[in-house]
Amino acid sequence: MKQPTDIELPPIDDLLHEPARLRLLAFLSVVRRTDFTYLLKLTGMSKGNLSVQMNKLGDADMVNIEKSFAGNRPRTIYQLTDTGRNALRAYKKNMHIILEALPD
Amino acid sequence: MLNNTHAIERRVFRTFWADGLLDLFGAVGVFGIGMAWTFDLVVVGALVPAVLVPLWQPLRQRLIEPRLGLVEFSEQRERRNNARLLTTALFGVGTLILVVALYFGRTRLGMDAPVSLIAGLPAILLAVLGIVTAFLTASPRFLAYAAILGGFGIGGAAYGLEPGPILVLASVPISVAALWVFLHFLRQNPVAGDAA
Repeated sequence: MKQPTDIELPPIDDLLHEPARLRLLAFLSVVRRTDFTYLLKLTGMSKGNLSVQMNKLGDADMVNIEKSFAGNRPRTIYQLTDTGRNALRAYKKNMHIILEALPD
Repeated sequence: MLNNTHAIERRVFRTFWADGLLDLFGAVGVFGIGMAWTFDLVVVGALVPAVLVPLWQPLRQRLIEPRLGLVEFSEQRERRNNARLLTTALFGVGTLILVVALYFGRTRLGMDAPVSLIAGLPAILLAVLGIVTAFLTASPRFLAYAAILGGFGIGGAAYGLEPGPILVLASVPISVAALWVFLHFLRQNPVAGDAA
């Protein structure tokens, strides 16, 4: 019989295992797409932090980033990719396994 | 796996309606319908929503989106919203027809005794629409508007007022509150460049 310490814990994606990025992905998972300003209002993050975190998610192909103009204002629109959605699913599943394995 | 998203989606959705534009539309609608009833132009009152609806999208794009940003909800949420809006619209039209029929047919129906109560019905039915809107938009403040409409409906009818003045009077506190929400939103959310 395996001892609790012998349980093979699933891997946790470091990119998602960060509160700000996880929150951003959670919001993106419930909408078709949204822009920088809306995410700013939703999360209360600073512009700099939001921009850095979204670029990290974009670099990992978890979020599709589309830059355009709304009138004369630049607009950046974000959409969760299939890679991002699958990563979020795996993260949820793995975290659930780990949390279930924790003693009360 | 990502099916427990209701709370997050609700949060995103509530933010979408927090700007006060819908509140202003509601206030103008109540005032317009009230004025139409006051001058015995009930049919014109029924047209007030038809006049307001086309203004919604351009005003939202011009005043709200530059400040709040853009969001497109999931297809599932869009379908649910459209179904609820259709139900609300049908309910609104149905109740309006019922109220107009009751109001003008009260003598023939032998309902002279509770005439004063009937005068409050339009406001009370708009209060019901306010409650529906609160659930549709996940915005509890519409329950307050519903309470105002309901209170003015019952109070105004008991005081012997006609439907028109009741609605016009009820639109005053609603307009003040709506304007406050809207101006607060504009102050808190200046148009800002996209720093991404």
